[in-house]
Amino acid sequence: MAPKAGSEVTVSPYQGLDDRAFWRSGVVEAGTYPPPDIYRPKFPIAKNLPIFTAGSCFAQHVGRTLANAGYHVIDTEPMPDWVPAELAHKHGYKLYSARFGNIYTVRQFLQLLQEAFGNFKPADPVWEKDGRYYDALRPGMTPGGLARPEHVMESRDYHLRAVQEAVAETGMVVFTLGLTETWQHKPSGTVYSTAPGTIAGRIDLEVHSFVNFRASEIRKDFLTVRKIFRAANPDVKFLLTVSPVPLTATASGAHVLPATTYSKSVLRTVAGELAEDFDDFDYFPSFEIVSSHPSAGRFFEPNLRSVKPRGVRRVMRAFLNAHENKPRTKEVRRAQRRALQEDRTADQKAASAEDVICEEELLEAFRK
Amino acid sequence: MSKALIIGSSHVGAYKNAADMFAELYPEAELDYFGVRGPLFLNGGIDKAGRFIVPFRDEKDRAFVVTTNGSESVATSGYDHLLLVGHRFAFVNFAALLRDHDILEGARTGKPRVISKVMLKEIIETVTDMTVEDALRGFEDFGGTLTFAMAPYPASSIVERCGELELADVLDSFWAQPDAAWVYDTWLNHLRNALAAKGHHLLKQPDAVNDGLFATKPKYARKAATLNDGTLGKKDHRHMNADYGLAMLSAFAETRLGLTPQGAMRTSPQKKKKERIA
Repeated sequence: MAPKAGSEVTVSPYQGLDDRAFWRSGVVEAGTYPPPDIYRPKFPIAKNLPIFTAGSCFAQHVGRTLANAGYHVIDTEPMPDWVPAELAHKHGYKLYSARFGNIYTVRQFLQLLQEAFGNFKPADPVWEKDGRYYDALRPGMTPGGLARPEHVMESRDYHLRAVQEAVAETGMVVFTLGLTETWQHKPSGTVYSTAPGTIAGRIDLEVHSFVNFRASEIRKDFLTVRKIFRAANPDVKFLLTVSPVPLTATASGAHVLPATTYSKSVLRTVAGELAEDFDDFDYFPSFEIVSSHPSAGRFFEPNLRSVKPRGVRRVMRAFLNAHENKPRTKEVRRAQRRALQEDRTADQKAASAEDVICEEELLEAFRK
Repeated sequence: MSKALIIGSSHVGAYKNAADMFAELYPEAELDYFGVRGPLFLNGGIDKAGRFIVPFRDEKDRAFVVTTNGSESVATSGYDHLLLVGHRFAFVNFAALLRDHDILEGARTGKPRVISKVMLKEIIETVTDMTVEDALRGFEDFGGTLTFAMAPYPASSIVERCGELELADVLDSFWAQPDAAWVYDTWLNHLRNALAAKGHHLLKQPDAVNDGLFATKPKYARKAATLNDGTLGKKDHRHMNADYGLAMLSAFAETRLGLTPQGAMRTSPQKKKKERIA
């Protein structure tokens, strides 16, 4: 710990700090990756604490891992276990706490919550393609679309009630921040999870515009999200992560690499500042574990975008180890080494049930 | 002479209790029976020597099978047909799904959630295919066509056990669902096609014994048969009596063995049994 303000010391303020504070001991000579002690939870998570999960596609791993580890992950639109996971995921079930699909921006999250509580009405909520109709706010949840626009609206009403129910029982929100870029319906400010025209709908540049949210806007949006959850439970906590998955495409005009760095930096800044400013916010460094240079890109698939199952396992193991407070005995270290070995072989046969649903990848199809 | 072996769960009891009357009606058919408890049947299969064997869980299991059948396994060679009795092919799961869901494109009954027809159809088809694969596992080496007769549809009177038996609650809710027919037809057609695609056959319950969708007339559940020629003391609404067994065996003889009954049936097997006891 750094010396307190006002106290005079004759030695460097870095003297006596923990190993984790220094690059050499904290990373280079740490012995394992991710380094032990990379994350110290700000608050414990009881196994019976109802957890609301949401966010960009990387968040699916977080929710799934928590559920598998015995945490109480809320699901207000459940599907029975006998329904194959792959089929359920394809239709938006068993991904998050309700069937809202990936939420890439905080504005999208905020608008969903506001709509659920009757404080927001999205513009142009039904998109059409080839005579089938899609929920514009979650077009990937009904592959092939529905026969009539009324079905879309009715299905959405049921969904919004499920969102309300989920909020009402939430003890902690785990949210993965994914993107800063999105498309909005200019007159109303409605943002969509995919650009109109990607899965369904039509882009009209008179009506739709590109937006790249600034850190201050994202922070403001998240603080409104916080208000909504706190109205239901004043003790609710927030655990933020940033998705390590780069942008598939940018509409910002910049090259996609700096555009990715910019977006992730903005999101990381917001998450870090919220965690510094508020006791009820914590930040877990999944982004750093996967994306920072000590990992040398080895957690990414050859497309340098999708995170390998091994990367996901490392991230989630670091999270669970910190929360389950496992002492680092010789046995634990040996088990970790064994697990690392298994990781390498398991990568060869990544189970399809572990695949994430990521509409953003559809953008790649629009490259030419 | 057609020779068939009937293998299955406790529901084989209904078939076995109809054996005498069946023999009168269809003298050209020779039937043998091998019945075991449901979980054993579902996990059983034909070994390399061509015998149907089951994974006994304990000695009690083994003793029951030997007492009931005279041996702990049965040879399948020498039979023209195998009739497998006792699968449900996941229908109860689909019915249970409708306890919490209305079909989005269908009627509203106040369920807390809706499910689209597209997804429900995909679930029915995918899961039914999985159950067909499971049912065929262990029978790969049997050369001929398999015929599957499901576990009897529960008697419609099972609703008497609502609140006490989950199956009763599930079916009560299913039968009240206006879109039940679509679910039932989608499942049954897909099941029949899935079995046919693998070269096998589904023996449907004859309409005469049905009391609506996935339901049997209550009279067939009275004095239901057990595997060892007895009858169940209490009406459980799931096991059926010899009249049901005869109806199923007759359907099997006519559709699968190509036989016609010799003369009309004078007395039902149930009545005949009563007369014998008297």
